[in-house]
Amino acid sequence: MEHWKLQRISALIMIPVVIFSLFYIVNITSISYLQLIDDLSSISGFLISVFFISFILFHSSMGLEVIIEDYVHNENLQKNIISISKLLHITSFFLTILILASI
Amino acid sequence: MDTSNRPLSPHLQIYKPQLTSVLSISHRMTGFALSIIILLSPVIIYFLTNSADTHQVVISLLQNSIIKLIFSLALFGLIYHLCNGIRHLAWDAGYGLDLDSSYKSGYIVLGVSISLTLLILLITGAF
Repeated sequence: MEHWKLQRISALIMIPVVIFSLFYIVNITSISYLQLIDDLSSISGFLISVFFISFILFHSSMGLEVIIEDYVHNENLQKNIISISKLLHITSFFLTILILASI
Repeated sequence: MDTSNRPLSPHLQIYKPQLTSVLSISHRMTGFALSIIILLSPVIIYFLTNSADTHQVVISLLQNSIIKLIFSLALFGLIYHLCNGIRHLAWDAGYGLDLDSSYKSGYIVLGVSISLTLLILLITGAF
């Protein structure tokens, strides 16, 4: 599927994802350590977190790609920066999975 | 192929700021900032979940007033990007494309995101 459509579809999925995460994150100071571990180590908590982080990173990677394409005019430099950005997103994805899986 | 006569993107340094153009570039700027935050999220998740001690470090950092300000700005950036993103999706579906509607939806997005941010900060007792 083309980049434009994928970015819009991921944006649509992000709407409920962001609203749900927001409710959790703004209350993070009132959630105890044990409660947090409980939430994230349950199968549903793990799957929801992985689902969320995948879509957020996917959306972020595509958004950055368009910004880089528009503002970095040197073709080689543009390709390199896009590759670095993708690599950072993939690294962030696997690190998050690793951390969540080891809880 | 002659590429010298193609239309240019607005040069932000000389383009007269209007509500619509400011909201448009703000969508990119908030998106960029949110990307940086999400790329750093493994570090935050690691400290939050590693042990009760590291969890406490993050929680006490969140009580710091400078961190609170950064957190509030990030919260506004996220809510703004969400609301304006819905506006963009409506445009992509062909709704509200005329100038009058663009301005109206622009003011709505600005009003809703400022109110929602303040509401969340008040409810969670951040201030």
